[in-house]
Amino acid sequence: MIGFPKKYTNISEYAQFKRKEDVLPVNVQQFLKSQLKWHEEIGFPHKKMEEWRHFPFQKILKAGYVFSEFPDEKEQNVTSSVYPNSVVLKIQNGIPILPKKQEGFSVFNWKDMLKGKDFLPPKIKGFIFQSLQNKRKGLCPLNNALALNGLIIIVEKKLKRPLEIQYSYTSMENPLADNLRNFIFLKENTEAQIMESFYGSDSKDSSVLLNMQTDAYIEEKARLEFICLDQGQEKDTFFNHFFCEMSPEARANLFTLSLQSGTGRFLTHLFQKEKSISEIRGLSLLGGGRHAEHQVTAEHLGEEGMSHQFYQSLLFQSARHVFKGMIRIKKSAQKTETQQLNRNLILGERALAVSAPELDIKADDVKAHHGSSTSSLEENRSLLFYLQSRGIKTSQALNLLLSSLIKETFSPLSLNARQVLEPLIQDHLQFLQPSFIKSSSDLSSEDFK
Amino acid sequence: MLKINNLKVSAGGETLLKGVDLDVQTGSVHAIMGPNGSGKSTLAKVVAGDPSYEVSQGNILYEVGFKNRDLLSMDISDRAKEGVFMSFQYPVEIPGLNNLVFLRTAFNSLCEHHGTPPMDEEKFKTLAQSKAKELGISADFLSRNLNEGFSGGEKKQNEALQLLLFFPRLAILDETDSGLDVDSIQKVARGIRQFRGKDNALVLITHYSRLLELVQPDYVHILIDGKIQKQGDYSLVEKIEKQGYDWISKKIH
Repeated sequence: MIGFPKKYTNISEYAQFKRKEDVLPVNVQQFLKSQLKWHEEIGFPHKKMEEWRHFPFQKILKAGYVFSEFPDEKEQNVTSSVYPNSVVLKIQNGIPILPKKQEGFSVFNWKDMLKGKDFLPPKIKGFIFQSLQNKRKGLCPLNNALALNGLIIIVEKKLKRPLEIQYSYTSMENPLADNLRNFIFLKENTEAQIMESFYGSDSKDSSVLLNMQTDAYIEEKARLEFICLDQGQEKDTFFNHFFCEMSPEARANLFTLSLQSGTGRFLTHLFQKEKSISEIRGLSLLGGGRHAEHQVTAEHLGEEGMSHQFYQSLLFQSARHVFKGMIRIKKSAQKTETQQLNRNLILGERALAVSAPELDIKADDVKAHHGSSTSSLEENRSLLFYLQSRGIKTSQALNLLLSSLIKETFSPLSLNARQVLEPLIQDHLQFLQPSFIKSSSDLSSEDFK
Repeated sequence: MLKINNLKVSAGGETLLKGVDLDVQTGSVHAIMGPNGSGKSTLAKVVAGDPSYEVSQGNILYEVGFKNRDLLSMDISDRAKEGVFMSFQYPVEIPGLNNLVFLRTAFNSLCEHHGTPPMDEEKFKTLAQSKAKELGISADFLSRNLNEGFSGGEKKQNEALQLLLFFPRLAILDETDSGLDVDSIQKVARGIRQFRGKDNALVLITHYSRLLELVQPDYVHILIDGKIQKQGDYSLVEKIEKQGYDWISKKIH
């Protein structure tokens, strides 16, 4: 599915070369080899796999991505930060550029751990090793086998400043496939706001496929707000895998905003112990032929946990959105309370939404709700008419209506997160709306004057 | 101000209005009554510009600056800007849209059209609060989302608040009194009395005489089976209250 540089005849050769390049310790090389073997056993995903049924494989093949060789280590561009007063962690062309020591957290390059450097406390090493043992499917084993760079972030106190991780690729000649591996660890009673933004390729003639895998561990009573922002270009592809283990009474507020990349696939899986609380939300505002998939699982392992999933999409032109949500409640997770909702608004004649909410409940004393709705603006016509009947012109009425519909999605986030996201969303809505106005027979572009 | 001539309207293949004539003069208050399904709400919505309906015959002339304009050719928001206001029978809920933001956006759209400067947030909030107070409704309305979680009575009160804020030239109140308790009706009636004047016109669509007792319309029209079958003054309301619509229906058939 993804090519490798011409001098290697197959992916194993390429992977072997990558492993030797940095003179990795033997045990690490063996681990990487085992991951590649596991990948080869399960194979690349394909349409016959249920969870990949709607994925646009042709689009990826056509792009002709090739695995990266040795990224240029020079700092080549400056992407301005989205979060005011944030600490920015850049990963440019696959290479982390780490800040000086900051208050409240430590950050290391995953590569240093692979090289055998011993700088992590046993607990955190244990968490990382355990994450690596999981026999995951899809593109995770490939990521484990090929990702030599990434971040290990350890939060030691309640952070006063948000962390912003930026992934960008610059001056590339050919379409590139890259793998990055991140680990995030929040110590007991700490708090962190982390936003990761994928900017994709800055080159008109080229594109990037980023295959990203993050494992997070939230200790007791710690709180994590984690936002994933997809601002790639139309030719870019973003695979994002986020796994999170939540200790008793931990809290996680997760939000994914899908705007720009031609193809995005976001897998989120939470493992929740007793009394942990999660909000897992996502918003996709898609136009053109963009495609975004959200596969979300909240797995309750202990009693009295809570989780709330809410994913919304607004689909213009021929955009496509797939939501697969799972709430899994083990027998030991009595008194769990959980909700799951997926709402889609079709605003383009050839737009498509696929929604598959699921419950797998083994405990017998729980509260669980799930629901899904897909509607068109036609069905919401009465709302638009109400606003227009008050003298509000069509474009403004549409904007008010769409803005209000999506506001609910990110309402549980912190104030500064909302202050960052709202203008981004508004700008993107303004950008997408004319395509809807042009194609709709009811509405007149006279209203835009 | 408004002249409806032989209006025929259909929706979903069914003819709902079968030739309605109505003349509303500036400074007048009209009541339109009739049994369920007679076409009252349809008439209101067509005047407001609801695109769900198809006008097959007739026209509606609306006076704008001493000239009669073809209302049916005007966009929905343009009609509102020229002073046409319909209070909805079932006001919509828009979760996530703050009521005050909505009211101010609408108010400033009207200001822009009339060449007056838009009002800033603070000034508008003060204005809206004072109008809410005049109506005897809680200013709490303003901080909530548009009609979200409002009771039926509260939604109608919110419509009455809009009437006082936007001060249209032609207000059509579609079953404003349905589902309201005595206190809510008093509040709505208060708003109507404040609005009523020589420079505007009011059309009240209703089943019941309660609100009409408080407002005392100048003209009463009875709409049955898509046509105005009887017209008169307030005494007609009293007759309907005692005898229902049967005596009119019998005469038609």
